[in-house]
Amino acid sequence: MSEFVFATAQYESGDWDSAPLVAPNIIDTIARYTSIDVTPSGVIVPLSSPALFRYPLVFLTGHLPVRFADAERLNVRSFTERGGLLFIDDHNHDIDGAFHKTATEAIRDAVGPLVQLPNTHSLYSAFFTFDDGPPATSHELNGWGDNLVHSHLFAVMQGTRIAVLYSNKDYSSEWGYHPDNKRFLSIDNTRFAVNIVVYALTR
Amino acid sequence: MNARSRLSLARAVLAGSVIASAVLWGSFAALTIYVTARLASGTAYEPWHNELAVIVLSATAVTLAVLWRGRHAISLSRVALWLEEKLPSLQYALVTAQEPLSSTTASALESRIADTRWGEPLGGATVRAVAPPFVLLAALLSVVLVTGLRDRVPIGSRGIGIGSSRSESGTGSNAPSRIANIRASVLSPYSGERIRTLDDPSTIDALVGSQIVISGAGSPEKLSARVGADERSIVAGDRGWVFSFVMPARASALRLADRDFKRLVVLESRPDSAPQVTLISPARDTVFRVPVGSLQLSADARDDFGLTAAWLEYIISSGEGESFIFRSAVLGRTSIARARSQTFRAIFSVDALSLKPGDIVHLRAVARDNNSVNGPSSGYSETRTLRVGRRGEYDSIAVEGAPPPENKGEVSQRMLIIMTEALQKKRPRLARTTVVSEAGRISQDQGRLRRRVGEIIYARLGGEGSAEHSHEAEEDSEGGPGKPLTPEEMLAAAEGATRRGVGDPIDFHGDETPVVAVNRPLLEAFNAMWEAGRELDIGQPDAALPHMRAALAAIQRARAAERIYLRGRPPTVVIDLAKVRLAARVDSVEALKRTPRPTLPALAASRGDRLSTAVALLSLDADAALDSLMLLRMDAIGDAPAFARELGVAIANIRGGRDATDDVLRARRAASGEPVTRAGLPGWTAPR
Repeated sequence: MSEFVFATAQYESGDWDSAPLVAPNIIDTIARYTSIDVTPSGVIVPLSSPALFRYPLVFLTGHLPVRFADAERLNVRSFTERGGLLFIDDHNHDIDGAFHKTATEAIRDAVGPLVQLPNTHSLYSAFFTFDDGPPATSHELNGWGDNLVHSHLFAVMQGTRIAVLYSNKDYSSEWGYHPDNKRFLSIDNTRFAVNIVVYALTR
Repeated sequence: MNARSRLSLARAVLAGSVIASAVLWGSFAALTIYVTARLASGTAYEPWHNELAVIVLSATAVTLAVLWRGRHAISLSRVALWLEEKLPSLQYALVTAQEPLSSTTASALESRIADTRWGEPLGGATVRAVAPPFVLLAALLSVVLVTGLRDRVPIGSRGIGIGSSRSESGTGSNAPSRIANIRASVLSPYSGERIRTLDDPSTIDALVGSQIVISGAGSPEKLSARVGADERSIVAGDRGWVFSFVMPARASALRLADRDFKRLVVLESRPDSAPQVTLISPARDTVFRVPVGSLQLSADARDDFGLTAAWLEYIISSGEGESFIFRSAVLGRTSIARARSQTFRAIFSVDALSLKPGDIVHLRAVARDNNSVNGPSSGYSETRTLRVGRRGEYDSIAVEGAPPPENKGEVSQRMLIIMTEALQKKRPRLARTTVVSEAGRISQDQGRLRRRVGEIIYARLGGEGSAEHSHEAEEDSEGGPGKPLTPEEMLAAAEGATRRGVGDPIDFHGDETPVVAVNRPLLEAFNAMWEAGRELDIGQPDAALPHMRAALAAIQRARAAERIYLRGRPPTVVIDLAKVRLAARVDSVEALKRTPRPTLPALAASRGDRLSTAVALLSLDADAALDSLMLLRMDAIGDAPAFARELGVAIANIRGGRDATDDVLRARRAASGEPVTRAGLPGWTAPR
């Protein structure tokens, strides 16, 4: 069985590498909680590259406007049609921010419109059980960004499968710390990442 | 009954035999041709009406030939002679009796004829004429009925009557189908196209949202129509019955039913393409050193049915790290009266936007079409990025350095090493004074290069100029070079003089401050050059070489270290999987059992199977097979246009009674997609 490789999307516009510590942190979490065979470091994959199809889950984040080039748009469409899951997180945690507006528009053009993901979706029970839907981030609770605690994630569905998962919750900031510092947390805040990875690998 | 009457009766019997024989031979010929055509599978087929013509013509020709051959049966004298031949006992009495005779002679002949019976030769002739074609026809008919040959239809060998299919158990009236001949009128809502009329269509292609009117002859009673899953009500109209609907967004089927008659029409919805927009100017991303002036923006937009508006829009992002603010606005909004292409322009005033260093302008053109049904659709150009450069970035990457003036050119450290090595090699053959002189020249070049390195270091540290000047001043005042600072002393002095604010965009490693991390290699080079210069000044090239090589190595490290990552270089964190594997606190964790990923549906394979099933069905129930093919085509229109196109050709040929074998093969090939050569199946893993 092949190893799972955590991939971060590199796109033409914006600051795609704004959360470089998310990848090692999620890899660390996957190793801590599961027996999934995972590589010790992630990869950066250009959205327009055919290499995108090697990864079942691709993480995309940033603060700046997201405008897919034609090649990126077509590649993302093919990626989701072939069973890949694109996880997008708004690093601005701001629903009126440029990232949110442009990323949702880019996804709508590339894959389809985002719809609210019910908090009873199987994503929230794919490994850990999150009865209240997506876990809140400290940035939301502190009132940063748009001063909202977002109760739902959004998704583009293909059949019953999530093709694009979209978050306004700024998991990029919440999970953007060195994995060694996880020992200082009373509750590991990266558990939800396990659900996303397991969902991507099993659906 | 006198002789003449009996002769007339014999003529009637013979003539009847000839006619019956002709009809039977003609029927046999027709059936033979039909069976031959049915058996000739896999070859070219004539359409049904042509085949029928051949059969009728052949049967007629055979019938006429037999009639011509037996034409003498209608002549009394010929019949009399035939009987005289068969019955010699008549001794030409019958032939003679046809002549005008005296009453005595006639009565004598009558009595002789009356004594002769000719039923046996007449019966024998009739049996010989009728029995062979009758037996052959009966045998062939039996074969056809027994083998079911009449139902066996190769691909495209029989024309399919549209809307003529009805179930065998149909018990409705015998009136013809009212859906066999329909007319479709298509009115596009906004494209400006004229109303299109399609007679007897099997497929209706139209823009999404087009108004489609279907009409036909007859009363609307007991007619039903369904578009997808929606039942449509049919009313009486000018031609008979009529109903209308709006072209759905996805390809679907129109199902018509008249008693037991069924008909399927594929609705091929044509989506309106979004406008194609190209940003002509600026043609590429740009970096402003100073954000002043204005830019001429221009863009080109095209649409298949017409544009209504176009504009340019920008977003300005300011900030860095975790703090960004955004401004956005629209420029040069233009209303367009349904033109299919339009070039639009605007002036982008950089002055008015108060851009600051580090600001990024994301600029793009947008156009909107006149789709009033499910639009309007918007098209976007690629985004151009106009960035205002930060102070200090120009020395490294943002501006291409101009070549240095000739009189200020420095010999590279690598070249100095080569020159010193050459001097060292020929040193045994040279006089001491020559060695000192040559080494001194190299030392001067080394000194120039050292000063250049010093300028770079101190300029980047924010100093007014090179610290070399102060050193040189010391040299001048003290009459010799002063002792160089150690790297630590130099760095401490530099950092103390140029402490920067937190968050300045300079890369660094580990625990080092930005100043130390960036300048350490260059400072090492600076000091190594200094030491090398001192050794060269006293004519010791062999002692200078290690310092020169150390300087070169430090410069190489500085080159690698000096790359500026504008977006920040992500730290490399490699997880020690063995250490952290399943090391999490799991007291509150209840991991769920994972379910395996279901096999992805092999859509192409599924379509291939459906195509095979439909083709196999053609020989058994051609109408049902055609419906299957049309539904298959309807499914494929959206995501497999090549397959749908080939299948459409095959359906048209099958319906027209033409050979569709090649078309079906092409469709099957298209269903499988283009052949792809690859070294191996890609896995969900990174490349090794």
